[in-house]
Amino acid sequence: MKRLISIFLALSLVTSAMAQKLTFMPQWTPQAQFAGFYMAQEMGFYAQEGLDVEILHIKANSTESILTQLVSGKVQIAGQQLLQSIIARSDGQKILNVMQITQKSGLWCVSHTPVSKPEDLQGMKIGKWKSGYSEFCDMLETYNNLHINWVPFINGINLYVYGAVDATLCYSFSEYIALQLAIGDIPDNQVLKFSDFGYECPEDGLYVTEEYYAQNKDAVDKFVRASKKGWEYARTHKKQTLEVVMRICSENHIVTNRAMQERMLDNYISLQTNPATGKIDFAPVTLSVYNDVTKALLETGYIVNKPEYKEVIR
Amino acid sequence: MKRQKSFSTRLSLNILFVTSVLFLLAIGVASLSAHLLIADEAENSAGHLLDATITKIEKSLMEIEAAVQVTAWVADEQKSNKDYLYEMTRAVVEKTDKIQGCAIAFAPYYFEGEYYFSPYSSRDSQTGEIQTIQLGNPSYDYFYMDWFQIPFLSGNPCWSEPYFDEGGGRFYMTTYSYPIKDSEGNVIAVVTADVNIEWIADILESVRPYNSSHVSLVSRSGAYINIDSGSSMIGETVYSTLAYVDDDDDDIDSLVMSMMSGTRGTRKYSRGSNMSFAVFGPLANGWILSISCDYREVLARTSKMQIILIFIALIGLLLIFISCYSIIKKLTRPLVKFSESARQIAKGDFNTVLPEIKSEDEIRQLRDAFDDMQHSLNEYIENLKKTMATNERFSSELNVASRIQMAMLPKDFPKHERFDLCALLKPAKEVGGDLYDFLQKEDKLYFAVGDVSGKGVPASMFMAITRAAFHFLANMGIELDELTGTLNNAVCEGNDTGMFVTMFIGCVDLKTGEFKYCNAGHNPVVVNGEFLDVKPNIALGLFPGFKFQMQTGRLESGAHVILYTDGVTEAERSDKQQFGDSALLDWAKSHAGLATQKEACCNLLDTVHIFTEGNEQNDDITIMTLKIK
Amino acid sequence: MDVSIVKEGAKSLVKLSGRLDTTNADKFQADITPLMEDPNPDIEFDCTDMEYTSSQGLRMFLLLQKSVSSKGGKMVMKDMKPQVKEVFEITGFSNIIKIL
Repeated sequence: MKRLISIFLALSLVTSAMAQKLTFMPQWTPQAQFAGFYMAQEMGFYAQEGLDVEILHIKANSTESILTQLVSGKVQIAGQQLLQSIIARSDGQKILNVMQITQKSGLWCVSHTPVSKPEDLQGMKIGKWKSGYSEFCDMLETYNNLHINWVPFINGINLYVYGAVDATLCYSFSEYIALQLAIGDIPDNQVLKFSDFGYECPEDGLYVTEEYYAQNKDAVDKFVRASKKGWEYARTHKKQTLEVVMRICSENHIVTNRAMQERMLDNYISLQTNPATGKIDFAPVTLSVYNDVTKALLETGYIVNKPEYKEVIR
Repeated sequence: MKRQKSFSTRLSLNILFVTSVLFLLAIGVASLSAHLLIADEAENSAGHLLDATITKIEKSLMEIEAAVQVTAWVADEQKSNKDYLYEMTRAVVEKTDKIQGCAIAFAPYYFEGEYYFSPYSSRDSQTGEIQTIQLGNPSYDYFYMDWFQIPFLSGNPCWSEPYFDEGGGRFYMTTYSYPIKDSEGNVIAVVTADVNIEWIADILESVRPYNSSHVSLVSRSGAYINIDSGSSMIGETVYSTLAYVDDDDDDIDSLVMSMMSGTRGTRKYSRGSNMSFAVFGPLANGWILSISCDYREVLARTSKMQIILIFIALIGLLLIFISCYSIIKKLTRPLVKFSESARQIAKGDFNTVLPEIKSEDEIRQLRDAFDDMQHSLNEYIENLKKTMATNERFSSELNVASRIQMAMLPKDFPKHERFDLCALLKPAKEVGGDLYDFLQKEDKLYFAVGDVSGKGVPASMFMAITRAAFHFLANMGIELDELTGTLNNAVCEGNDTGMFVTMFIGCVDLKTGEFKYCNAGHNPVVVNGEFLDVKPNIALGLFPGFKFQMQTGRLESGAHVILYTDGVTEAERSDKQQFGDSALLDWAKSHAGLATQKEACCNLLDTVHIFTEGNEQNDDITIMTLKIK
Repeated sequence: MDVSIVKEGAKSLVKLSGRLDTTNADKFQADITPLMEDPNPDIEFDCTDMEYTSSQGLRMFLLLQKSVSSKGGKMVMKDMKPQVKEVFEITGFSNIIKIL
């Protein structure tokens, strides 16, 4: 008996030692946007794949960008946006996309005054996130002949609420919901959805370095597989998922509320629906979309040479 | 007793019902108006409370604002003196215990070479020590903090959203920012005061007008300000809590909308079945204070009063019922007594004493009527008794008369070889005084039939006397005319009532067949089918000393004599037709040959009865028949 | 028997109609009581409608006759029906009472 136990113990140690460690950094501080990953962790899908995953969130006041931490190897897998990733690749950062999470763009603009087309944004003071998005803003101005007063913000909606800006960029699943919960329902004629105007660039995806991918393709595939399973679980077990999300927020001293997280989860999942198939299949970015995006980036001068589709999208 | 109870009960219940309805109406109306008044009052009072509280909080906030503004002006003056700026922040925190931290944050590169310049002092909540530091650094890019960015962009002072102070005591805080502008109106720096707002929660806790009242102070983006660090409401907003409420209540939605629009107002709303109202109004800094009250609690005191009222009403009703019942019962007690008296009278006690009624009302009238009835009944019964007694006596009188009559008449008819004689008398209901008699003395046969005028006992007494006298006189053997005269005198004697007797007296010598007769006002006798020629003379008893004339004739063998009274000839049938003389003669002729005279008498009687067809006999019928063999 | 009395000076005119028998003898007696008590002596009976009289009636008439005679007056019965008159004759009353 004793022998059996010691063998068993030894085996489990070995197994755990054999489990591959990897660190995943989501795009922001804890929220329902990353529910699928939380649930993959919670339900042991990573462990089943033999992965020992640490989900490390960036701090709000961090000086190091996620990209930096990915490239430096501090984290192995990171959540990034397509646009920035293409630019980074073009700059020589060898990162590639292993999973496309959202299939549609959730980028909106909310204004104090009614807006029906991008032209209505002319001359406005519009809030935008401090880090990133300069390419998007440039593209917006260039393609629509606009001059906009961009006001960078780090986090939140208070600039808009306090009337310090005329309008603000927001995501349908985060800032927009926060606004709803701060000031009540927003009339539809005050919301501009960029996807209505040809902006079809999906945003969120999982990215790894080429180097890491070459050495740990297996692990990466496993991670992706388990993450997809996690998202499927989150979709079908919303109540439990919400509990987990709230718990993780609380553990990380994130001040939020249940209504916010619930709506975020619902909205984010709807962004995962592939417009071509109508299903949630985490399909890779299509070549045509990729070409459109890279074309726009070239035209606005954000990239000098176009990275190969095959290189970026796996 | 049972009936009485139900009448009292019924009437009392009716009164009770009406009174109850009235009471209910009255209470209902009173309650309703009381409710409305009190609700109104409560709303007013809550409104005043709201205003007072807003003023109170604003006062404290304004103190802070004032402190910051003064600091800003001074800082503006002294901005070249960097060290002084540090000291200022420290002084602010030291001197104002509501202010936990103070910063004077300058715009980027305001001071040459210095991207960040923001002296900042803060009080450690646990030790109370004040730290003074340089706030800005790459990890704390204060330009993008709301407390800087908003006043920087808008040029206006503002109170920030509440947040938790991460360092130290985890107090719930808000920051007041005041921009310092240059001569062109550009913001060059922002002076801030970090304020621990838990005292607000304390104030608001004591403000609650009712136990169930909710008092909320919310920020411009709906975050709750009057909560403490352990509260589950941290992170929630007015709209998020609304999202948790299940019901699709338009009431509450519109209430929140009005509230957050920054207007001062009062609104009624319902949560499920509870009616509540909320008063709300803005503070000068954009925060919104609201006080909600549940009407149930507002009206609780009136509800208590209502219950007391209802209780009193119930007792009142009970008293009304009891007093009505007993009064009515008392007033109608005479009716019970009456019914008892009536029962007594029904049993036959006509002298039952009726109950005394002292009041001069309908009951008294009833009693008097009853009394009259009782007396009338009494009288009537008495009269009835008398009449019955009279009738009894009358009939008993008749009995006596009839007995006398029957006793007087001979019933044994002799059997003789030379004659056959029979007689019968059928009396009328009212005894009429007919008589018959016969006497055989040696060879002479005396026979007579008579009819006394009048009825009843006097007639029968007369008849008795007459018959007795006749018998006595006949026995003496005197001549018929003398006999009749003497008889007449005897009947006249002492007769002042005018009663008379008609009589026919006959005497036949059985050897020789000589027939002597004397009539005294009587019906003519039938001999051999013909009326005998008869002198009337006069009835006996009218004229004393009257000389009666006798007549003679012969009765041969086979002669048939019929004597009768007017009961035969005047026998009436229902149409007042009388039997008549001719019918008698007819009978006499056709029934001469009957074997016995008994048969003959009976036959004649039957004939008369057949004629009368059962009509009531109003006079005695006397028949005597004689056959000479 | 209906009795109606009319005074003509000292004479009483009495109309008799109907029957006089045992049923109404008492009544008849009551009716003629005023004649008995009347100090005026003369009575005249109209017997046109007199149907019948019993021995009771005869007695009453006799009493009346006696009363009238004692007062020195005259009593007469007129227009008597034959069958009624017969009764008076049989009984010999026609010798006592004047019948016309």
